[in-house]
Amino acid sequence: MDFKLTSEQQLLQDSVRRYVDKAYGFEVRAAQLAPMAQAATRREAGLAHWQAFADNGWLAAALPETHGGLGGSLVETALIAHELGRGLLLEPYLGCAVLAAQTLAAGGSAAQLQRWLPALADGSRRMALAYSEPGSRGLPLPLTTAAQRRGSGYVLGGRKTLVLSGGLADAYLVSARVEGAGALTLFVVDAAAAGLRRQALPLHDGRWAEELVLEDVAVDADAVLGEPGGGLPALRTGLAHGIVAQGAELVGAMERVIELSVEYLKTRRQFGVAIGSFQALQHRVADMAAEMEMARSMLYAALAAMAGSEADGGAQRQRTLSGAKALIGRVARFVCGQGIQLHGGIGMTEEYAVGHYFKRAVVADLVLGSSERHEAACALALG
Amino acid sequence: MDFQPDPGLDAFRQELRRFLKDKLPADLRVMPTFSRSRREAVARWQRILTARGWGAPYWAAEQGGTGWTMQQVLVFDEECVAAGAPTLDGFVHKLLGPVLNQFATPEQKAAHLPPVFNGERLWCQGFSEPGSGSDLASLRTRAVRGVDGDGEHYLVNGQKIWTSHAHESDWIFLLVRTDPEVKKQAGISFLLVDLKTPGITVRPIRSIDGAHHLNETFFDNVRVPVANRVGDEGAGWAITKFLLNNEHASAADLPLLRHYLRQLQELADTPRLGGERLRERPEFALKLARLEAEVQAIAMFVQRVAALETAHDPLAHPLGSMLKVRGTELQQRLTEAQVEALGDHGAVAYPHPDDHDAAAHEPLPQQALAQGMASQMFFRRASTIYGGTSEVQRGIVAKLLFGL
Repeated sequence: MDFKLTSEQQLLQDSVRRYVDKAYGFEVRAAQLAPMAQAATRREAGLAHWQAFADNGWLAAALPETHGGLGGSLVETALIAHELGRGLLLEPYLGCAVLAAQTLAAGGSAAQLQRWLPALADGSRRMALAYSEPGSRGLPLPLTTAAQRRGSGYVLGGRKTLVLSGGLADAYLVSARVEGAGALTLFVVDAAAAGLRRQALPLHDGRWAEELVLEDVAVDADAVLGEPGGGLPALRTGLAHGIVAQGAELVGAMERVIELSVEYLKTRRQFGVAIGSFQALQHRVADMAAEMEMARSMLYAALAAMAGSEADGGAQRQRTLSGAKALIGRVARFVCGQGIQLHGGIGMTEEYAVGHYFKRAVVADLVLGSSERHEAACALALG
Repeated sequence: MDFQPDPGLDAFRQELRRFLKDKLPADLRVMPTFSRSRREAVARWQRILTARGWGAPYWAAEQGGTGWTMQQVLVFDEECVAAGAPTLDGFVHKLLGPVLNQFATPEQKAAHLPPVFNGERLWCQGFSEPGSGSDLASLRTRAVRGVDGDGEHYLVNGQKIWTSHAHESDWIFLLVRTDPEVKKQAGISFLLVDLKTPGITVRPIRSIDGAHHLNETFFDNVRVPVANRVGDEGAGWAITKFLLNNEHASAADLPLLRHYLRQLQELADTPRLGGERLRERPEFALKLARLEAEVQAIAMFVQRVAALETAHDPLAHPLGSMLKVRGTELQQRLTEAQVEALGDHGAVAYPHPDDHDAAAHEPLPQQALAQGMASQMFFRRASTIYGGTSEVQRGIVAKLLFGL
């Protein structure tokens, strides 16, 4: 284990940070967020950023070299996500470049990998992961979306929630039950497929998700990712990558909140002195920092669990991931919430950044299963 | 940055486990303890480790130590606690030893290092005073230099408090004021004192856990040879900062946290009256899951601080402060969860095993376990006070990390 960045990793981190600082300042982001911004304008801006991500190699960073990727690991994903989190980027890096791409990479046939990964890596196409349902709340199961065999293919019916696509997806990986074939099957469904209704939904943090309704959506047999009934391990791998990426994003967001807060404590004056001279506020910011370092440590524990062996069939790894999802999520809400408190009234305003970080933390806790869901899953696994 | 497990570390762990299985005598295996083991146990365990060449597990090879990496040291501590080994004399191994290796004269090293390895000389620490807690540099125990027929010496007068294990120690390392005229930090010196010297009185302090490990120690015209001063006169504060700066990674006491968690897990599996296991209660299972995740985070936090310390990165200090705050709070919450898990019997104040009337009571189920847990829970209130209070640690973070 080594906590120091290699020179390549340092370069990667620097390049993402430079991009976020230059091309994604708070004002740029605010313009993209403005309520009057039209869907088409938003999409255009999103696609421009996405192409820049691709040109910089970030979309390819953790994909296999055999299919247009750069062969990096989950550590590279975490480094990129961390920087994107500092800038609260709106593009669906998590949804498309991590969740969907890593699920596909883990479960796709050779032909599917060849067909999709190079296009995902170079940014020309985007895929999103549609696995969560109103009743599963961010976990892979239980699953009500069903696929029935028809002719040589399948027809899908059901509803998928909180699909992190940013409205940019060309296709979806949809989880469904196939009767007589294992717990879960993944299907590649084209965004333009007949019977697929997509409703764009804004999230509190300014990102866009979609709700999918599938009514008799017909797909060919080769739309099945891997084998029928064999989708769960691939989905779990994709979600594991997603939990780590989002955890890194939140640690980045917390770093920024603490920087903003400390800056404010040094400049804001009340009672004739900088408010940072008050011990109550010093101790509050010290606690925020301590909590953030707990979260960062837990992120590293999750990375270590992913790098280690799966001797017990993955149960310990799964518990560590759930523990990380819950701990980092709770800590992020605490730290970002305290960021508002340290700022006082100005922290409550739309024009100021710190409140937006809190919103991201709130949304992140609900995405990929809430802290409570994951803690309950850990608790069940204890027995 | 990579998170691949280190295969060498696993081999090291197996080697330790074999050693502990073969060489740790059954009668020395005890419930791990928060404080120092009884002196006979400390001395015997020290000699067993010395015979294996591991007499100074925390020191560099050129200082007669094992030269283990921080990672190896963490594994060593963890395996020793897990096996129920007695403690070593932490005062000399973790605090005084590094000071002697860094600042002592050859004569002082010759006098004090060999007894570490044969377990014949146990140490205690004389820092805090009734009027000097967090503001340690305000200490008033006075050392006045003089000469008599036996040579140059200091005459020491004053009082130290919270001198853990002084009643089971042979020597004390002591901060004294040698110059009251200069800035308070500049007038402090560091002395090594034989506790058998006339004029020293050690009085017990019973703490709320019902045990006796704390003392107050009085110095009444105690004659200490000048040759027993470590470093220059007035260098005591710099030495103290060096001494406290060695300790960041162990501030959370990870082996202890893991031990508390194991105990809690065992309680969770013990069938209760009515046959229900605590694990099956959702509110308990949820709490246990949360505590497990926090211990896991602390474990990684410790590795990070250890890596910073190894690299002599100044960030080790503020991160160590955060680790201490979070780790010690977790000690409190784990032991509170234990007592709560005991149910009705968690409320009972059992007589101390050493008390005369202990035999008169009919033992309740789980009495030995319950007694230990309550005692730990009460003593853990000290964790957020000793070694720099949580408030002092937060102040360090605000200052060193944020310049506030």
